Amino acid sequence: MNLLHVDNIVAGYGPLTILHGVSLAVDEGEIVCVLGANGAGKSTLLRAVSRLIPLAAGTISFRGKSLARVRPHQAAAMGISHVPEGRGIFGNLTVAENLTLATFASHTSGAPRVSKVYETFPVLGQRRGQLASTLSGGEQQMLAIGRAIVSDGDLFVLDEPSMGLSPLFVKSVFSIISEINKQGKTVLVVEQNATMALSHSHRAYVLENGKIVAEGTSREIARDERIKKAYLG
Amino acid sequence: MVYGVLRLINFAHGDIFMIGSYTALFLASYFHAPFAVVVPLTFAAIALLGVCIERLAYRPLRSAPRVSAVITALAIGLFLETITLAVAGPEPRKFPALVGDHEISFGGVGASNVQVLIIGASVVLMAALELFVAKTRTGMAMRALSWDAITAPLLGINIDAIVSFTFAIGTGLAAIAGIFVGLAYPVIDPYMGIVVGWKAFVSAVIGGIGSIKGAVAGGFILGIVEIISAAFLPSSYKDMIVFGLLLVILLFRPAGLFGVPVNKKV
Repeated sequence: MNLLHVDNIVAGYGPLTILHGVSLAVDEGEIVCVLGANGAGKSTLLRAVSRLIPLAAGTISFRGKSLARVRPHQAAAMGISHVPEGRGIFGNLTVAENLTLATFASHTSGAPRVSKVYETFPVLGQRRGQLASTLSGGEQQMLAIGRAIVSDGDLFVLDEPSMGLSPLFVKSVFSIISEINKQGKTVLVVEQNATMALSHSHRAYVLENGKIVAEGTSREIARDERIKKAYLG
Repeated sequence: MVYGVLRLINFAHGDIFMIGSYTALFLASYFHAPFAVVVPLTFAAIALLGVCIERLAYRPLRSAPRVSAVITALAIGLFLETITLAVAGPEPRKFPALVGDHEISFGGVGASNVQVLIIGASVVLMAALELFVAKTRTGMAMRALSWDAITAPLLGINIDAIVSFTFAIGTGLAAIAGIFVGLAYPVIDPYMGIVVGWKAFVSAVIGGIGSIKGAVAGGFILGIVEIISAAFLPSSYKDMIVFGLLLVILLFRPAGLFGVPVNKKV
């Protein structure tokens, strides 16, 4: 049984359909990446998975349970930790408060995981009393991932974690993703940075105009001439 | 409070305050309930009313353009006024003296116990509210919601629950204000909420809308301006001066005296 199973979904915003029948599956313990250009529907796919937008057709199931009637805060409580595009940190709250908020999704006290986040990202520990809006882009991305760690979901859903970051930060973000995966979390990540995403994932899907056009192991996809041309330059 | 979380100016707030006053009057005169019972019962009843109003009138409009919600709020205000007119009649009612009035003095400064009670209770309630928003998890969720309502549910925050709770607290406190005003000026009528609602709005704008401390400071500034203008000018100019002040503030400091201009990162 797949941890996450997306079957032929159609979704979009109001009259605008973005996803035209997308299917994918993520197994426990995997890192799966979805590649695609701007406007391919990558964020829409993730927003459908975490139930921020309704489905016009198709089904999504998590641990074999249908998410059809699940609302976003319930999806979070079931174990889907979505780190949204643009990071979605609360700039009017302190770093520590941002992390505390993530305990809404978990049913246990988050204190040990909050200290784990401070260990993983020492800079967040130093700045715990600061307003999150004063952090740099890279630090905000760390905070956003830190929040997902505190949420303690089983599936981390990451929307372009490399966006707007310097190459050095992109590298460390991806090594943290691998680290999180080694500690038992499953990861679904969408990216435009194909090189980074393919070298840090097990399997990959390619999304174009709201449809999956290729899928395979990340190694296969990285060797595919067509993909090379389109995404790897 | 409601604005701070939802960016919705609840123009029905003054009328909820009026309903609070009438509810207390009803409880006190028909059931002869004592003050200590009237206050929590009124708070609870009006908090429930606030939750229902949000559920029925505002929630369906949450993703609609903001002006729709504002118009709905005005309509709810009118609805509450007319229903009070129909049930209680247009004539002013005498608010029962729930607290025996007597004079007390602090080293030569005299005040009635009612005034002391009102001021004391208001300070306690405001401090409690400020503390609640600053320290509790629910308060944290409220602040998070005001910054970004899309991301909040991704962390497991149930937006509807937080919004309902915000409305309960906001309307419940308006009802308490209705009781206090009834104690201080014991004649109430169905239209008492209109000017009070507008003045609360002006106070909030002067202080910086969405901030509790700002609203308190704005209220004091408003009161002082009113009294000074009534002392030097004919008192019928009072409201003109107050709303003139609103125009000046909006012109020169639209974020309010203590407000921080909104510059959200996208």
